[in-house]
Amino acid sequence: MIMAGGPPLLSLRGIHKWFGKVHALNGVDVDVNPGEIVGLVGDNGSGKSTLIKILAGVLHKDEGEIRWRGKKTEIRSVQDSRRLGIETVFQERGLVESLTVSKNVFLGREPTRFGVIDFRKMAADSDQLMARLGLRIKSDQEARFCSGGEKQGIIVSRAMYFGAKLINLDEPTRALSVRGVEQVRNFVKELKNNSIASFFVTHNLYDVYPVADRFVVMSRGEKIVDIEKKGVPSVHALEEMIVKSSLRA
Amino acid sequence: MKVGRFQLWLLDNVAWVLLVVFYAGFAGANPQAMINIDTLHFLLYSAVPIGFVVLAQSVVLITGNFDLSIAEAAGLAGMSTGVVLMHVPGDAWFTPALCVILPVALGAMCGALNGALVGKLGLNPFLVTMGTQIGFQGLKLLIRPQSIWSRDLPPFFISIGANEVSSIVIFLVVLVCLWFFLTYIRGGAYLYAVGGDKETSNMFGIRPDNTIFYAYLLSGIFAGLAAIFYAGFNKGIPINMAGGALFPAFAGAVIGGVAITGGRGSVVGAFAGSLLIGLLETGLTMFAISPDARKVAFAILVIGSILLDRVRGTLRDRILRPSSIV
Repeated sequence: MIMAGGPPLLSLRGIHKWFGKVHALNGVDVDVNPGEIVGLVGDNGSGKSTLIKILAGVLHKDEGEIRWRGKKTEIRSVQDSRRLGIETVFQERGLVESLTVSKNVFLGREPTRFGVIDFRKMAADSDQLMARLGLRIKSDQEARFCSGGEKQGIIVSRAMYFGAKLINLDEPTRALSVRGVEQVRNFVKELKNNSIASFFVTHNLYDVYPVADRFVVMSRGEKIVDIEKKGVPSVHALEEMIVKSSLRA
Repeated sequence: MKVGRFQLWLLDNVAWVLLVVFYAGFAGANPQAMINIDTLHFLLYSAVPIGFVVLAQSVVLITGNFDLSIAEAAGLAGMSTGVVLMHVPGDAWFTPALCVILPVALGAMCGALNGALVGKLGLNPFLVTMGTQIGFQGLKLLIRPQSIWSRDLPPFFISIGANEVSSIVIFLVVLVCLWFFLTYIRGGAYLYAVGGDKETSNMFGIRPDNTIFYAYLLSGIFAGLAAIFYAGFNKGIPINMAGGALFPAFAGAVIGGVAITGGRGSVVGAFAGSLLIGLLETGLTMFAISPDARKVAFAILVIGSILLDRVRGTLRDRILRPSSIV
């Protein structure tokens, strides 16, 4: 799984997490390579969100090792995660809906000139980013008036602009229309074109299948499937594989 | 599209429209008294002290919070300053500085207390500021249970707010500075982000606890400034200084476009709200409306402002929503 160019971007080994007596993650190993789209699939309570929260610095692992570009590291806070180049978008928690599109793209990292926010640069860069993603939304439009797919686009554009290396999308297709799901897939492909890896977290295999390079399937805190797409002839074959693996587990 | 933009402009500037409507109404009833440069001058001047209270309420409302104690914070800051200044020689070199720094610092302390309880400890803003309102009022009466008049105070203290022109100019300068801060400086702009969505702002490194603390601190500073200008306007420190200002100030801020739910609003609009409150005070006094009837009028205004906030929100949504997602 390691690419010829060097170590994986992210390497997780033996990650454990307990919530009291509940063993939420039981020795999970996952690698993510630069620009790779990893479909992280599982039902509610499978541990996929816990894993993402650990990467985002919201939760802390109890045991295990995290390596970033081959070097051992600890993620103790959201800031630590962002410093590494990891951006995480949680379900319905990616935008301040009353703010405009450009204010959301630059939230917390507004460009300034002599201490004064440079709104002109924000608008110009935001318009450029939206055009790159094929979105026809104006920089001064309030985010609450964007469709679900467009909102995911704003979030993705932010990660692209600030040079993220890995973006965690937590259920980005939940409650989206067919067109919205297709839009999200295109955004993820655009991330890949920019060598940005992504964790596409979903409970719906069909949403992620067309774009993923690899599938990591979780069940009851354990990784039950980790397979590259070229080893899976169809989504139905993957479904069968998951059913067999979960029965074994 | 152009019609939509005009409607939006009208919604955002409804306070200015109401100002013109009410002024025309009062002028129609008594043209001699109202269409007069001295009256206009007085209207602006009388709006200054309550204008500071409106600004104080606005910055807190933008963060999605509320402050019931602002008027009493102004009263406490004014009375405490007055008691200190009574014992300070009027011609001492430090007296002018003390006349400004002391009320502002005392107001800031009141704001910091509210900010610590609401922002840092996450307590309910309504209940906290109801408690501090009672506390500030009690403390003020403990410090001095009677008014202080100008003869007992350094002339400089009264002169700051007694001069009509300088009062208006100082208020406008503060207003422009606050508008610039809230619009173009990160720390100010974050008040809107936190008011819009605390949790998301937090995820982007904007700490809601700090932002809310600083909003209350700023609000306290404005309460201290209000105390200076109330003292100048009243030529002393009355025992009930700024006592009735709380709800008219709230109405002024909301009519001016500051959303009750937070995250939206302009202090320039809030200024129009202050002028409207000043106009109503003057107009009702001019027509010899009894204090009780004036109370009823202001109660209607407060409830009206809440209704206006709701209607404005609905209409804004209707105008701004792109047709593609209707």
